[in-house]
Order: sequence, then structure tokens, then C-alpha cells
Amino acid sequence: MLSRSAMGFGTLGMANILGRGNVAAENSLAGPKRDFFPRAKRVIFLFLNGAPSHIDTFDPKPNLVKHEGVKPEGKLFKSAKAGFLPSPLRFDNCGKSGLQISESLPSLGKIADDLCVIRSMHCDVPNHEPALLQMHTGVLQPTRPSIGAWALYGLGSENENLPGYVVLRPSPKIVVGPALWSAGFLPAKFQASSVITRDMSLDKLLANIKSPGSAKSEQRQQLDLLAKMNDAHKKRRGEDTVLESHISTMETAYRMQIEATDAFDISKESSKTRESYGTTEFANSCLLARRLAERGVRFTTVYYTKGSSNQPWDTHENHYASHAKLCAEADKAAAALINDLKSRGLLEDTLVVFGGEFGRTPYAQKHDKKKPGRDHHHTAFSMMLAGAGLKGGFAYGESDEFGMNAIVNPVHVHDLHATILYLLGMDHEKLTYRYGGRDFRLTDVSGRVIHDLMT
Amino acid sequence: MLFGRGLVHTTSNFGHLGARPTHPELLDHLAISFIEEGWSVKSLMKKILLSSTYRQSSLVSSDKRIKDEENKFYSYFKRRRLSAEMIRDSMLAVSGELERGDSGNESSLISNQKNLRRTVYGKISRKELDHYLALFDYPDANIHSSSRDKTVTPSQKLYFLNSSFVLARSSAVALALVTEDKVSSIEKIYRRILSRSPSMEELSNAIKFIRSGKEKEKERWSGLAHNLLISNEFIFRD
Repeated sequence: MLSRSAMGFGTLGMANILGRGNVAAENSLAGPKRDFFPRAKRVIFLFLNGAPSHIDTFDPKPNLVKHEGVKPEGKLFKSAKAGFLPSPLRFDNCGKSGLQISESLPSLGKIADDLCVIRSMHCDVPNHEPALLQMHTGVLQPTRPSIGAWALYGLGSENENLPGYVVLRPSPKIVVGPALWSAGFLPAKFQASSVITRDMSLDKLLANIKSPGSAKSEQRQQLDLLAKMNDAHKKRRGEDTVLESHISTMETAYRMQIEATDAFDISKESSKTRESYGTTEFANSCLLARRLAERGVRFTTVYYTKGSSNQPWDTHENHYASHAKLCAEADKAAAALINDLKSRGLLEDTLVVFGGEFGRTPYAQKHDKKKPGRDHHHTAFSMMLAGAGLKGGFAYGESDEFGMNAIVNPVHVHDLHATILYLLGMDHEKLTYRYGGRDFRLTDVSGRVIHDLMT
Repeated sequence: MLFGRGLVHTTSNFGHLGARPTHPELLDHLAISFIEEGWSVKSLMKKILLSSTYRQSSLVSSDKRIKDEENKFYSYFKRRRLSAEMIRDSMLAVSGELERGDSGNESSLISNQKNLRRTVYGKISRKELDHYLALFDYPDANIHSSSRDKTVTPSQKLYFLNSSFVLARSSAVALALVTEDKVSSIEKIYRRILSRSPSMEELSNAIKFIRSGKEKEKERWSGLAHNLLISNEFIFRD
């Protein structure tokens, strides 16, 4: 009893993941419990590793033109070697709402009325590792549970035949790595199943999902014999829920072989759908994310990494050449995903998040005057959201005229996390876990829910 | 590790805000004799393992169970799944492939198929925990962990069903023990893996299984060994 009983709301929320039979050492009460009416049942986070430039995507700064070449002021930016670099990109008024989105993202521009942009994001450190950890776990250092683990801890999974938290990435190379999706001190079952999506053939995607030797019927015969054995073993020992859960979980695994191979098989999609997403690794991952979402996977993160680079958006040099290519891929896939979710009636209870760990400097990075780069920038950046009953065609918060600091309605990463948990129906202050003598939560001692984003 | 629960339940917190020991006199006794016997962990372990408390059966009547649901009074042996290390080591031990050598440098990663040494010698990466270890509740190597879960997940069962490691061990057992004599082979497989003879029913079920199916008989024998290796009887400490 003792310290386990101090687990707080989370204990009540902890539905059995991957099978009701997971009784064992944990407290387990059936069914998720929510504090609020949930607007989202699932989350898909499209993560742009390396950090995209906010003033070239979602935050137009026309006033930069008149400050071109001027160095930024303030202690924080005194090391800047070059001056302000306005975006050469055109920002159109998109959709009925007139939401301004850069020409780099034309497909997203077309669905601007479904998008909710936060222009006043900020975080604590302009370096990848701590910022990545903060965006994923709320804390600058490892090892705390990631947001997906918290979501799973609070809500459980809707489909016992699939993992509840999945991380899709084209390449194994990723900055920080598994700490970004770990369960930390939460029970290990809440960590993500990481799937490398470079090769979309089924046995490469999921470990041990296929029986290498026997045909289905042979395996079934073998398992029937095993079931007899396990059953006799259990009977000799009287009532034992743990043994029962092992028996039922074996059956779940057997079914998973079929169900997971179906879920992860994007070749089942029509060619029209495949074309709308594109056929890049990121596009394939987005499509897979939709398949998982509609089958009840609670939290899916799609990372934008490439074989050649583990943070392709980190454009310290020759920013505009890379930016155009990266946006072309990401824009097409993200818009296709949102449209696809919408046409299947899933967008209204799915939260889609699109962004990176911070933004990029509105001033140039002094490498090459002809092909300038942009450095890391954490005091103002943008995040795009869609679905979950959020306001559409809407921009929340503002950065200053230079795009340097979030000045109107600043949204810290903690606030974003609090809001995401709220949309899932949970109170970020109540979703706690006792570890090392105190209660922890995703937002630790911070975070406020941004109700203005919601309809 | 030995009883499934410590005398102080909050293993990370022996202080004021932690739990009180359930058997304070026993705790004192063990602590004092530990010091008196020269701080030997081996002596302490031996003392505990030879105690009648440890040697109790896990079989317990339901009314006795009700009286001590959480085994607070250590009135029976708490049945539980083997740890990650124990499962792997046991499979290697019964297949006869465990590479001895209880000293020396660390081995390669545990999931390396060529690594047949005890799991304790495997390389632990803090950045990316070995997949097998993570699957069976090995804790994150970056933070302290005073106890381990004993979860049951479909991914574990999929590992048991389809992983090359388990399948290789099954084949090895079959290869080592199977002869023309079916009954004797089944007996040997049961004895090797479960340390007991099969019951009459198990024997006849096994013979039926070996004879049926379209696969080659060799595969059926591996299948039988496979079943025993992934049975609850094998993976539980009972």
C-alpha cells in the first residue's frame, strides 16, 4: 500500500496497456478516468528535428526589412556576428480566416482554416539536447518520463493489440535518442515502441512480429499445446491472476501478429493516398501514423530525420536552400495527414502538433553572406496545431516586430504540455507519480492551460 | 529479490517519510548478525536462503491467502516471473550452450546472437538500453532503481514466440536430446527444462503433437522444447 497509494490521479487512470491482463505488481483499475471532457483521444506529434525557422513559416515579420543588417540588441544576443535577415518569402492570407502562412507551406496554407498557430512559444535553452528533452519530458536533463508516457499512464491504450505509444523515425540516428520517449520512472510499459521506418517492410518495422518458421496453423497447434500446459500448471496452484494474465497475454501476442502486421502495412493504402502524402520517408511515417491513430494508438511521434542527417532542420548554413526542400516534404505530408484524418472523421478528436524544439534566429549566422544560415533561437518560436476542437485559422500570441522575443501571451513548453494534457481530458496538476520521495508531473511546478486556443 | 518484498516496503526511502519495517526485530537481528559475521553478504544470503520462511511453498489455500493477501507476514513463497537475466541465463543453461567463464571483460551487447555468456557480463548502454533487457523490465541505467517490475506484455510473448534467440535454444535442446525413442526423448526434454518427468497426460499430448502436422518431425521436436522454454512453469519462480 504505502507509497504506491500516493500515486495520485494517475493510478486511477492506469488502464492496462497492451492487454487487460497486466495485473502483476501494479495497481490496475479498469478504464481511464478523466478530469475534463476530452477533446482529443489521441495525439500525433510531427517533430521537425533541428528546429524550423519561425519567421520563414508561421510568423511573418515584414518590419525586419527596414532593420536588415542591424545587429540584435540585448545581453542575450550580444554574441551575434551578423545582422537581421528578413525572410524573402511571401506570406499569403490563407483561407477564409486570412491566417498568414509562408509560401514554403502551400498545402498547409490551403487548409489554414483548420490550423491553430502559436506564435509566442519559448523555452529555456537554445541547444538541441536540453531543448529536445524539455519539449519531450518537460525537463532539461534526462531522465524523466516523456509526454507520450504520461499520456499512456493517464489514459491507457484503446487497442490492446497494438503498442499505446509509438515513435516513428526514418533513421536510427537521432539527437538525444531513446531518452526522448522513455518512461523514466514510470513503469516501463509506458515507454514508446520505437520503429525505424526507413524500410517499410513488415519484419523490419516490428521486432518478432512474424513467426520465422512455421505457418499460422502449425503455430496455432503448438500454442494450443502450450495453453493446455499453462492451464494445468495454473490449476494445480489454485487461483492466480498473475498466471492468468500470462496466459491471456500469450493469446494477445498471437493476435498481435496479425493485427500489427495489418496496422503497419502501408501497402494497403490506395495509390491516390500514397501520392497525396508523397513517398518520402517522412511521408510514409505520417501515413503510418494515421493508420495507427485510427486503430487506437494513443500517442504517436513522427520524427523528421534523414539518413544523412539526424537534424535536417538545423540550418546553420545555406538556410534557404535546405528550408525549401524540407518544407516541401513536410508541408505535403502534414497537410495530407490532416486532410486524411478529417475525411475519416478523426480530426475532431485527434490532436496534431507540428514543430521542433525551438526556432531559428531572425538574424543571420555569419558563415557565408551569400548563403546565410540561421542559428538556434529559443525566446520566440512557432508551433502549429490542428484538430481536437481547436480554433481554426487562428494565431495565438505574438513575438516582437523582429521575431526575437515572445511578448504577447507567451507560451512556455510547460504551458503547451499542460494544454495537451487538458485536451486529452487530464489535469496536468493531478497527473502525478511518486518517485524518490515526492510527486512528479510532466509540467513539474509550472504550466497553465491555454483555453483561448479552444472553441 | 528473494521474497518479492523488502522488510521496508519503500526500498528507495528508509527515512522518516518511508514505510516502517514490517518486522523490526527481524531487521535488527539480521543487521546485527551481518555485522558480527564480518559484513559478509554471502553469509547473510545463506542464512536467509536456508530459513524455513524462504523455503515455503507458493501453494497456498484460498482462505490462508485471504488472511495474507500481500504476503505481509511472509506466510508463503510469492510466485513471480524470473528477471531478464534469469530467463536468458536459464534458457542458455538448459540448452547446454551457456558459455562459462565467470570472470573477464564485458561481453558484447546482450542481443548480439553470438553472445552466449551470462547476462550479467553483457554490455549495458545508458543511451539506448538493450532491447531484450528493456523488454523484461531492466531499469533505465541512468537513474537509480531499487526494485523491478515483473510485467507481462504481448511484446515479451512475441519475443518468446518468434525471436531467433529463443528459437535457437529450442533447436539446440532438440538436437541434443532427441533420439529414435520418442518416449525417452520427451522424458529427457522435460527433465532438462523443467527438472521433472512429464505426467501421463503430458506424455500422450506430446506424442500426439510430434506425430501430427505437416512440418518435419525435427521442427515438431523443436516446437515441443520451445513450448517448455516459454511455459509459465519455466519462466516463473515457484
